[in-house]
Amino acid sequence: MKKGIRYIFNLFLIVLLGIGLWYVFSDNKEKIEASVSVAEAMGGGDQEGYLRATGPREFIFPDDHGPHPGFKTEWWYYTGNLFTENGRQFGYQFTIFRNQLNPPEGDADSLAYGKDWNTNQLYLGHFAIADVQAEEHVFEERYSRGAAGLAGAQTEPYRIWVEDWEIKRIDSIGISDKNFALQIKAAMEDGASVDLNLIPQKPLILQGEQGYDRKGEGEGNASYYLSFTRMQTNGSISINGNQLEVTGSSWMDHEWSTSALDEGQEGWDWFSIQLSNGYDLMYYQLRNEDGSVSQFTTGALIDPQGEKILLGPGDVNIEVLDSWLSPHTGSEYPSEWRMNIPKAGLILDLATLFDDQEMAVSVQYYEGTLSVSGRMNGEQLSGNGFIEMTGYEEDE
Amino acid sequence: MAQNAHIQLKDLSKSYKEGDKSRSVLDELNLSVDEGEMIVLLGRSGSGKSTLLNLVSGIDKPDFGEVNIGGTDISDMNEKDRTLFRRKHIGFVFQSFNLIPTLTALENVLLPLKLKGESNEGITDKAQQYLDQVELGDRGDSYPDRLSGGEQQRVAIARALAHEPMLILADEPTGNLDYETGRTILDMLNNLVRKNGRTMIIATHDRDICQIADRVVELKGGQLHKVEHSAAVE
Amino acid sequence: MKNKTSNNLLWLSSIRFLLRHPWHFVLSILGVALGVSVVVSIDLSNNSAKKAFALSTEAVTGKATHQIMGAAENLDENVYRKLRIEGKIRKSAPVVKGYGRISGMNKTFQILGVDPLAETPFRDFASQQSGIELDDFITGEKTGLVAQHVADQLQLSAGDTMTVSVGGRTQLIRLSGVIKAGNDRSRRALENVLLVDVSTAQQMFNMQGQLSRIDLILPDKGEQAMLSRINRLLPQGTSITRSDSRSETVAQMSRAFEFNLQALSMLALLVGMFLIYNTMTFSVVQRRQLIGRLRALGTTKNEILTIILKEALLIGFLGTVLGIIAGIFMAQGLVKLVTQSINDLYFVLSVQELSIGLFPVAKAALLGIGATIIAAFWPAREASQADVSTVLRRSSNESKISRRLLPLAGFGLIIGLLGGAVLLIPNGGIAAGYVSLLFMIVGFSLMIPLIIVWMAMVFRPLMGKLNGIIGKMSVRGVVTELSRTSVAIAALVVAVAATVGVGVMVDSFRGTVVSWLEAQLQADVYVQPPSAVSRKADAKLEPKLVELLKETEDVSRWHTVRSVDVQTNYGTDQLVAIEQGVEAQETYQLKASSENFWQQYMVKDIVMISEAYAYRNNVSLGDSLLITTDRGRQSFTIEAINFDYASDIGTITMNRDIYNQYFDDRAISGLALYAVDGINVDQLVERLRNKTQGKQEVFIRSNKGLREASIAIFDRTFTVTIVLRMLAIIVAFIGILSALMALQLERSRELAVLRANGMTPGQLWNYVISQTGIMGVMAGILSVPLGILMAYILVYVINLRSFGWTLQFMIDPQVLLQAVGLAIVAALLAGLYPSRKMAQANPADALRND
Repeated sequence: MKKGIRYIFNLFLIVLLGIGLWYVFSDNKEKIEASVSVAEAMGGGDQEGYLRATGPREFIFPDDHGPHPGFKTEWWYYTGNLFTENGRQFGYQFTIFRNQLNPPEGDADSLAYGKDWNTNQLYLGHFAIADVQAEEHVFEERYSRGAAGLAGAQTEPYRIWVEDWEIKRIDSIGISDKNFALQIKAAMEDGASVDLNLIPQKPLILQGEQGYDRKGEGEGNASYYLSFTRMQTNGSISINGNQLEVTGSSWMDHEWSTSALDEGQEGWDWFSIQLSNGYDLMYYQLRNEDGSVSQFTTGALIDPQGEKILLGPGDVNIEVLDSWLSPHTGSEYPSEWRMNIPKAGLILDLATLFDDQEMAVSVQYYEGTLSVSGRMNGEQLSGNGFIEMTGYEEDE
Repeated sequence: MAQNAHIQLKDLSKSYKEGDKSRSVLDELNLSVDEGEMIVLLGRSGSGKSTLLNLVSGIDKPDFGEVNIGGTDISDMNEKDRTLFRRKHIGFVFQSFNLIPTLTALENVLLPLKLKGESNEGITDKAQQYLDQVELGDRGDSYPDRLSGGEQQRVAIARALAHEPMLILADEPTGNLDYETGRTILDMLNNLVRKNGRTMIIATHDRDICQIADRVVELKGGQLHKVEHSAAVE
Repeated sequence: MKNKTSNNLLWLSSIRFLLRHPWHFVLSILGVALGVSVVVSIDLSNNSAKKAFALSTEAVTGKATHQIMGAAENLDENVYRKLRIEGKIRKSAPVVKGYGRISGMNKTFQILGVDPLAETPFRDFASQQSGIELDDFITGEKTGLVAQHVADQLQLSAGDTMTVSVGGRTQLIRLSGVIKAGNDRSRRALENVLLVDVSTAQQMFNMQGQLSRIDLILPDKGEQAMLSRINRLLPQGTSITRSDSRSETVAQMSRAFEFNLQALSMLALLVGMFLIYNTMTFSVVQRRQLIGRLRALGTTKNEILTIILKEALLIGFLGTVLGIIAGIFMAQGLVKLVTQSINDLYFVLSVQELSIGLFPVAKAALLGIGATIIAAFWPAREASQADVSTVLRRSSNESKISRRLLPLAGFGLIIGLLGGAVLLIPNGGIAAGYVSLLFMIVGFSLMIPLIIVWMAMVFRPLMGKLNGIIGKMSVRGVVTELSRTSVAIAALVVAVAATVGVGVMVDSFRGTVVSWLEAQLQADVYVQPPSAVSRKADAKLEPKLVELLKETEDVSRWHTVRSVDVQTNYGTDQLVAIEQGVEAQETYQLKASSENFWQQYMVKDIVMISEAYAYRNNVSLGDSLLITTDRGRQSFTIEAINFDYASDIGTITMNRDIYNQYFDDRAISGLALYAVDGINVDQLVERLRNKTQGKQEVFIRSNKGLREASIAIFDRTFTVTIVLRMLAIIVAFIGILSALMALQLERSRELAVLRANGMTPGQLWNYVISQTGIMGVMAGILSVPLGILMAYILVYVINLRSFGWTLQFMIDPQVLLQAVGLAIVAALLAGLYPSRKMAQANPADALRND
């Protein structure tokens, strides 16, 4: 009997010890995890109370190159194709977005950034470099509140920045307050960076109807849209630890709006092309959910002097020749096109220079550099360009 | 005296300290006991009977001399070995019974068997047998406080016999009993010891006991003197 | 194999004895249980506090590896911008931190102001990716988040408004969401966190343009390079520290306090051990005959030893289990006391539940069983060594102790002196103090038998006069049974002395503090806003309010005080800047100072440090202190050391003018006002209170009021000690009861003989009660010197080595009288049961053979 008791006792001790050890260790392994759930009671209509683009307006510069608080969304978007001495090609994209969190209430909120930490503005930065030769695409997203000097946009002196990514006006190259030179400086965490000077070669283009670009049925489903379609660019690019001197050509878009898209619109495919004969082409297709092309599609062909020829949906035929399935997101993006613009006598063969130039950040989209070849009125052409494709998310 | 006697005490000496002086209790004592013999050890109180018994049982160690039991000299052994020897080979019957009050009668008899360390098989039966021999077979479950003096002593006798020791020592076994009971006990002791062929030394100051003895010796002046039967009885 | 079966029977014979005499058994178990329960409850309380602190720190520190902090308390927010833009340090986050109370809950909250956009690598519950809606959080309205279960307790849901009080000012914060804890650990960690935006926090704490700190995550590789890169960007006075070393420093503050609690609990265990020794000795003594018989039958000494130890093991086991369960219950209440004390003295802590870890329980089990075995060892050994031959005779035998009195006492003296020697070990620390205490207790106890014999010689004639022959007999009886009576008396002495020692220490401390406060508080009215930690006065008074109060009628003069945490070469220390002139010398009592300190301190870079500070950091007059200021690291010479009982961490005091030279902080933590002669101070206080209505919640206290409030904090802190004292008394009481009862019960034979000889029951009562009463008196008398010795060590060694304080040794005669009284009362009560039993019993039964 004694033996039995001892045995049970020992077993009991071992079990106790085991439980104790498990308890001790498991308790330490658990991390502090928590998530925030926000009440549904919050938030009114998302778009209520903001300024909307309702029609053409006068632009004043340099102010209108700066921010437009009151409008919910705004971006300064730069793409470009840069070449080293040896002909190595890099594409880059650098965009700073401004997002307003709450509708404006009086003058206090007309600031594009707060002096102390309070602010209504959120700034996002997207930066990508495409190494065509290596078929490598690196990108990074950064965001900050527009306050405490961490991010913001201002006109005097002209500066748009998200932490250490910035777009600045170069005063020494002063052309005018409407057309001025800029410096873009940005570096990614792994060291990939650009330091570029951009000088507009053509006057500022007011896209759409004198800068008022209608995108949808509803009133206010439009944006104000300005472009520099050709900017001489030089500076340096750093990638994989190598710094290279480059020159090339960039494109700038500056748009601001509140909910540009209509209910039924899914996204867009947007082309920016710089042709060897001095013409620049901007064309975007708004796609409806049902797959059809929206009637609010717009384009513009800019001649070497900077005169704009407006293009409507009927003016441009696009045929998708090939597509690419993204292994990261599962979305399928077109990758090869044939564009026919009879009005201008322009036929272009366009293709992404390499497949994977997808931006998988808080918003998913594709931004890639294109190979351009074709004919205009019989004349052989080459060129550079960029394609931006949005709204291809798998689950939509 | 036979050379290879069962029990042999040679030149046994023991003295105690009292203050500065030392008092000699046993003085080069000699004794031989054959197997199966029953010896009565006479002596007045304070003569050293208990001391002698202590030495023989290994409870105490002599100053000089040898204590040979069954061929083993225990006088040289350390305390532990003497204790182990005692539990295997010596049985004790005390004047004040000295039963373990927290064990039943049967358990008391069982104790030496367990201490001896033999296999567990059948020892309970054995203990029961001895308890039967002292005619207390049905009182096995009783605790000592439920038994009369005589009954307790009987259990003690059974206990002393149970592990078949080489030697049984009895120190005034009838001292705490009335005359009648005492006689009964003595008879029982005598019978059982002889029946089981055990060797026994009884220490007493009661001369009546001498009747059952094979031999009587008297402890006087630290030495043993032989006593004639007849003289003892008177 | 042999041993097992025989041991069974031996074990049976032994355990039945115990069960037949249940009192021993029960009281032994109780003794262990009490000792263990005290140890367990203290351990659990301490552990729960530590764990709660660690968890909440972890929640607030997140994954930050380093933190950047300013010289005084705050950091210019420009540093953050510079770090991110120029330094391109991506893994950085701004933090604004403080404390406040949410109305509806009686606890202090940690208010954490963060930038959710930067928080992702640090604290995922605070990051934007965990779901914080930025349009609510950063856009200017004061919003905040709490954990789900806290919101439930406050009975609020998202959208409701919370009233938060910070430094006396109330603010309304809208609850814009709840934090859902991922597991139980998170739940506990976020228990007292209120999450707000940096902007909101800056407004709540009036810290516009400032941050509390900047958190960083630096990679392991290249950490040094990063550190130097960052350091180049930092302005003077800011520093980078590892985040774990910071929280470690804070945790260390309460270490001495916790250590002392633990030691006191050990004292309870020690007393428990005495109890066990007591009862084991008695149970062995009672079984002397039994053991002798077993030995005669051939049971070896070791076998006897084993059995007794097994019994002890059983008692230990049962007692420990009981003790652990009781301890867990006690801890529920104790943890609140401990938490309150820590809150009062050191830092903000909220412990909502008891963490029952495996370690304290295992430790208690080990201690309980170990203590029992140790306490039982000597009696067990004694039992096994008992001379077998003597058992075979019928006389009961007084053990050899009578022969060994002198050597025993001598040995005791040596141990006592050894205990004294231990104190001389340099850097022995608190541990040496307790070891020495232990040695002295043991040494003294060994001398007790001899002293009893001497005392008996004095008492005998006395008692003879008082009580006739019975009186003489009762005294004689104490000596004849010395082996047993001395043990009982020793146990009582130790227990009562413990209460004396602790009582004297507490009185000395309190007395010192009271007289110090009287000198320190010279002004008539003291104003300060509520602070999170009672002892620290680091909240800020609104400047306008200060002006308003200064200009009140009947205020003749005033001075202000600023209290901040600063970084010195000794770590984070408390700095107090006083705006006073030479007259400050009337307030501060100096232990040592250089000449003309008070004249010089207004113009030179010199400081005064408190005694505790000097002790802790081993500095003295003439040494330099490097303080990180807004102008960089500056050297200040220590030119005075003052007595200060408000803080065991230590304080550095500096003149406000000098402070202003090196720090940009202009805030005021406290204001002292002097009334014009003859004015009724209470009325002045009323008037001042009216002035502050609705502006900022502040404490305005008269001199008397502040003194009383300070004493209240001390008393609260010592509540724990007093509770322990109570427990020690209970343990002692039970021990005595058991020992004396056992003693008398064991002598039932002799008492029966007395009755048989014609002693009446009444006379028997007299005899027994006199005897126990005398033992009580002896114990009481002996407990006084031992108690004073213990108090001496507690005050001059342990307190000194824990905190560095000079205490005035104060012995209140009441404490001594109480002790003696306690001993006598315990003893007399202990005599009641046995005398009743003896008086009722039939002498014939006892006389019969057992």
